[in-house]
Formats: sequence, C-alpha cells, structure tokens
Amino acid sequence: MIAPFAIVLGLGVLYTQYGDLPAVASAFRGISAAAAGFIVAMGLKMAASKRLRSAMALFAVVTFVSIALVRVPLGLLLIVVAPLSVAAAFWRRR
Amino acid sequence: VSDSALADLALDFSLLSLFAIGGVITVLPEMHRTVVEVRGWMSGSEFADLYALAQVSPGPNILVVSLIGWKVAGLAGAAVATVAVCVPSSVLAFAVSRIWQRFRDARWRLALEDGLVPVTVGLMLAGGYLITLSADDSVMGFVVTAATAAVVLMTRIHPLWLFGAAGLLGLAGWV
Repeated sequence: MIAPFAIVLGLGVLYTQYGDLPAVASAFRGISAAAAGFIVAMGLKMAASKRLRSAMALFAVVTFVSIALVRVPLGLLLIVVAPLSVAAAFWRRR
Repeated sequence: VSDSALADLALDFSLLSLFAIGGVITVLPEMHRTVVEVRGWMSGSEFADLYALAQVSPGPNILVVSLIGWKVAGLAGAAVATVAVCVPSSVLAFAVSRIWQRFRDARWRLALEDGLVPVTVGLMLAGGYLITLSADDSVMGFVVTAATAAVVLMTRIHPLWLFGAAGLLGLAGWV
C-alpha cells in the first residue's frame, strides 16, 4: 500500500505544482471527461446485470434519484431505502 | 496545518469507509457531497481531476482520499485520510466475513445480497452522473465522456489508452 500511496501522492504534487499551466489544465479537461465516462460505463455494466431484471430495479431508480438529483446524504438512504430493498428481496425469496 | 482539518478528514473518511459496501464507486456521490458541498474543500471540477488522477495511477482508486487529504492538509492530511478510509471498512469486512460464511444458505443473507444490488447500482450511476457534471463544462467534454463509456462497454481495450487519448484531445484544445 505504501508504493501506490507514494505514486499517487507524487502525481498529486505534480498536479498541484503544474495544474495551473494551460497545457496541463487542458489535458486534464480531457482526462477527467474520460474518467467520468469510465465510471458511467461501470454503472451501466452493473445495471445490465441479470440480478437487476425484476421489479427490484425500482430500488436502483429510487437510489439514483435520491442521491444524484435530490442529493440526500448517503446515511439517510441506507437507513430508509436499503432496508426496504432488502425487505422486498426477502419477500421475493419466499 | 490545523488540527481541526485533520480531525475533519479523519471523521469524514472513517464514516465513509463504513458505507463503502461496494467499493469506492458506490461512495463517490457521498464523497463528492462531503468534499465539495459540505466542507467546501475544493471545486467540483478539481474533485473530478483528483479522481481521474487516482484512476490513472496504478494503485486502488480509493487512494483519491490521499489526494484530497493532501490538498486539505498536506502530507499529514494524506496519511490521516488514507488510514481513516481503510481501517473501519477492513475491520467491518473481517467481522462480517466470519458471520457471512456461517449463514451461507440463510434466507436473510441471500435477501441482503439481492436487496443491496439495486442500491449499489443506483449509487454507481449517481456517481457517474455527478462526476460527469463536475468534469464536463463543454459539449466536447460530454462527447468524450459518452464516447469513453461506449468504448469501455463495447471493447476490452485498457482504459489507460482512453485516458491518454482524451488527454491528447484536451491538450490539443478540443475539449
């Protein structure tokens, strides 16, 4: 864990040192856009998985809307939505 | 470096650590909310840059908290944030794994797994949405994001190539 930590910090130092240079800043506009696309792809890949092909997908929609659009704290979501989702899954497994 | 900044880092990231049910992507929205909106440690676009930096470096992406800690409180901040995000989830995972094994076929355990899948998916999609909005402020930015997502979904190319290509596009002033 020490080596990855040192490498990422090294990159971080370079970023804080040179991040304001126009060339670095514009390269980062591209890199960040691509990194965001990678996260989107991971989410879509999970969303397409077999385990979501049921009414349970409703809880994915509720989670997305609460977190991304309404911006509720994660703790609240885990207290309210997660138990309902687990209860529904429990009931479906009868 | 103020002690209170270190205490904030320790508190925020150890709480976040306990929530990390499906890895760093699932806590990305909460990390974004805490770092950008609640604490105001940096702008959304800087947060997106730091996450991208963690993605292109060879270690696990959770090391984005090292970069956040570094930005907030230097080397001490990086160390505190990294330890805070690693320890609670490791302890929790260790404790749960023993119970988990014992109730391998229990209905409540299967239900717990089934029930957390949609929540995890919703959190991952929310993270992608929030980071996209933070990272992109131009039409070309959104095009690069969408193109990257499409290529990742449809090919097996290593993502570093895509980050490199996108960096060159940015360097050329196209993003």
